[in-house]
Amino acid sequence: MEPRTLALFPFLPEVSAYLKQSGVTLDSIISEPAYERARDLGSKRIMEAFLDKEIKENPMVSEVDHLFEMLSYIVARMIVSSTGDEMLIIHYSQAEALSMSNRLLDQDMDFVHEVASSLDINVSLESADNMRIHFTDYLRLSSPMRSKEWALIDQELDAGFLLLDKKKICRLMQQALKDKISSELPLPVNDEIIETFRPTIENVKIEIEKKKEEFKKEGFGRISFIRLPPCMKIMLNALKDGKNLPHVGRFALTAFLNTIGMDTEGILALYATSPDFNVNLARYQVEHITGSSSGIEYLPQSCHTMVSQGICFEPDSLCNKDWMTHPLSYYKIKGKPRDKDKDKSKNTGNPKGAGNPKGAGNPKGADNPKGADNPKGADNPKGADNPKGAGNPKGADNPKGAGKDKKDEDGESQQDEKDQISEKD
Amino acid sequence: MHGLRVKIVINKHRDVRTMKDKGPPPVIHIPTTQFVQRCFREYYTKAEIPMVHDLDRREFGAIIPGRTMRRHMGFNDMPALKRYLTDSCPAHVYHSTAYYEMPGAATMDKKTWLGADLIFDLDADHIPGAEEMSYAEMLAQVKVEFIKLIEEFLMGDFGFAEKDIGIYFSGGRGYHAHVRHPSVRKLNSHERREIVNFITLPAKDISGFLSKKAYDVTEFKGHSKAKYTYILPDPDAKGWKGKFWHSLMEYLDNGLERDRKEIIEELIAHDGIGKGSAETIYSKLFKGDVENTGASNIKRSNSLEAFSSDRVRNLFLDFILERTRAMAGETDEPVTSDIKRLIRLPGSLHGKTGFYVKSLELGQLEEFDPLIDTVWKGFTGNTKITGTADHTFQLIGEEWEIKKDESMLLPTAVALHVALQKKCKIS
Repeated sequence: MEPRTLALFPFLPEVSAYLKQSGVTLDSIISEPAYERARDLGSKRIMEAFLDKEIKENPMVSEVDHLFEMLSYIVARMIVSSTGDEMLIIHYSQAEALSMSNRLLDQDMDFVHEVASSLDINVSLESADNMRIHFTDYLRLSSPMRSKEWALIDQELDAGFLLLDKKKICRLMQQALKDKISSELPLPVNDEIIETFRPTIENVKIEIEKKKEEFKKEGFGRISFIRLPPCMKIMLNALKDGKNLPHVGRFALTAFLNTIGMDTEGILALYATSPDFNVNLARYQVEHITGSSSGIEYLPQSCHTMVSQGICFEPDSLCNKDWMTHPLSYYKIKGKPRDKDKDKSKNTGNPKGAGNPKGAGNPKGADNPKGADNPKGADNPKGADNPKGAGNPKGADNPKGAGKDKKDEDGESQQDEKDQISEKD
Repeated sequence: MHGLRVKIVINKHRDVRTMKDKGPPPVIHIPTTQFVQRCFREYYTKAEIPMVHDLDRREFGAIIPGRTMRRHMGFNDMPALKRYLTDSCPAHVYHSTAYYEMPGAATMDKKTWLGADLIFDLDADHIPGAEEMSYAEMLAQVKVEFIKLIEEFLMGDFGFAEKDIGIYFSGGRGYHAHVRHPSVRKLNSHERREIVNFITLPAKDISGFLSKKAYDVTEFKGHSKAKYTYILPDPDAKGWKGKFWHSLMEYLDNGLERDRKEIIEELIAHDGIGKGSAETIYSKLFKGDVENTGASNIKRSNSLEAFSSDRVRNLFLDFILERTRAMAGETDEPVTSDIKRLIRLPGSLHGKTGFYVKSLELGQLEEFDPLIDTVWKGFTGNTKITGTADHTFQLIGEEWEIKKDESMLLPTAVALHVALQKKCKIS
């Protein structure tokens, strides 16, 4: 494999053979002055991953550039491991995965196939445009994606297999790489590594803290019932109607309300209408979850967990977005002000851009491959689906124009989608 | 000593009952209980229990009459399991669909889940109108649905080979399929639910079967507005897209030859379609000169341009989806999506019927008659019973009639069934 390719896809197993051949050792990366640039690139890689959510392609002209690029991946993993921070591990693996997926779209199918195999995805090349995947692999990789276009029932299942186009297979590979990296990290690190990267580790930790603060502060202010996701609304209404909620439901609702800033008394008042209300027991349980008695503040479950616990009720179009993984994100996004500009692009309304001479109603996006009406374009999972920004964020989701774009059907979801752009983390 | 033991059993039984359903305490008839236990012990001593796949990775659970379910049992091999069965004579025995690192550990956390078979359970509850049927009719209907599940879905759409699917009669009112292919082991609940959805085609948003194409986009004050054509799936599309297409085409073809009144009545019968909508659908599809009806346009263009109103089009699509649902299969969702469930041990006796959980080949299903083939042939001789209720039933190919308070001699296997059904006592 070309060194350039290895540099672009540094998680490939061939990389370690290449490094071995080049005589690079772990010790030398950490200590030798000659590798300072690799260490710097590694620091940059991790900061980009955390702040921009995607790793930019550095200009590479020589074989040394390629080598350092590969090493930056190894360094970044050491830094992440040194912090041991779960949140960073998740963000970092997401960014690596997203970058891979975007870079792969420029590659030919043979190569995509090769990478897929290295990620243990069992696919075979069916044609120049399609790959064949067993439905169990498909389910495993698509199950975190909740948008309806991934539902098995809508797939053309044929004797256990289905066909995926390049964009879809890349999206599944993104999931696979994310799972792989986040399961590999943290790696064991020694004091020397921690010492070498201390400045970066400190910086990253500061950024992480900032992010966590931001999340707490900015996310939720006054409690708004209108912004609640359907699951919470339904559970809340059930309580008001005096119906009993299952334990997992109470837990989710309590942790959720607590996180968006409702105090114990407020939450208790809601439960007071419950048929089996016992104020002492309820207070004990609520305080346990809110952390006022246990010291551990529980966060509400993710969408995925709630689905498997059977307490995901009536998901709406916003819930069904690929990237919607947590009821708190829903609440945050619903709370974002909608400015005029965003409203304008609301009516994208056109799956393919085909038949729409005006660039699908989103003139800005059209001119701007990275979706620069959005300063954080790279943060944007939409953008991820649409690296070329094919002029139309809608169309990007839908390469064949094959109308699986339920998103178009209501204005609201579009708006939500725009709102989400600078928000999703 | 013996008397004491019996007393304890009675007390325990009462406790369980009062906790559970507060009904009147059952009358335990000791000779009947002993007869049942004798039969079960004879069965487990002599009958052949099929090998349990990965036995040492499974959790076992059992219900001994009068006690609550005992779970968290693990066995190393078949002889150990068989010893347990012969010694305890449980009324019901189950094993986990899951594989565990330590199946015998006392809590679920400590077991360490390694994966689970993909299980399908189809019983009489899922058959529409089952309440009206006799037991034998019900079983026959379940079998038809079960064969469809195996052949069209598990082996058809999902592509499993016959050797990957264990097929069992449950001993009660239905059938189980255990898919043991390694590819399914790690699937989580959500993923298994997707499989069930594929089989049962629940009410759904139809748009996933169609593609939408804008053909008329207008812009006004920065807002753009588009009209769409709804393109139908390819005629050779696989999965439900293809089935939906065929069902739509069949409807259109037939409709061109049917009379108006019939079509409209059929449309109105569908939930959500009123008289007005039915008229609209009819005229959009079938009115006009034969070559130029909406139906022939749809067939020609493979798209749904015939409808100008979204509401009417969606009603019509929903109507076709409902018709397509005739091709859907049946299976019990919670059983399939539960990755830690216990399922009846193949080869074990069912404590409410006395039938054994029979392992079957796909080719045997057609001929299989649970009321003959799952009665163990090893029970010998006759047993004298006294009816506790009037009861008529079919078993081993004959019709039996017992009367309250009348004594009669029955073949032991039949007597066992009647005793378990609580329709007789043994003196």
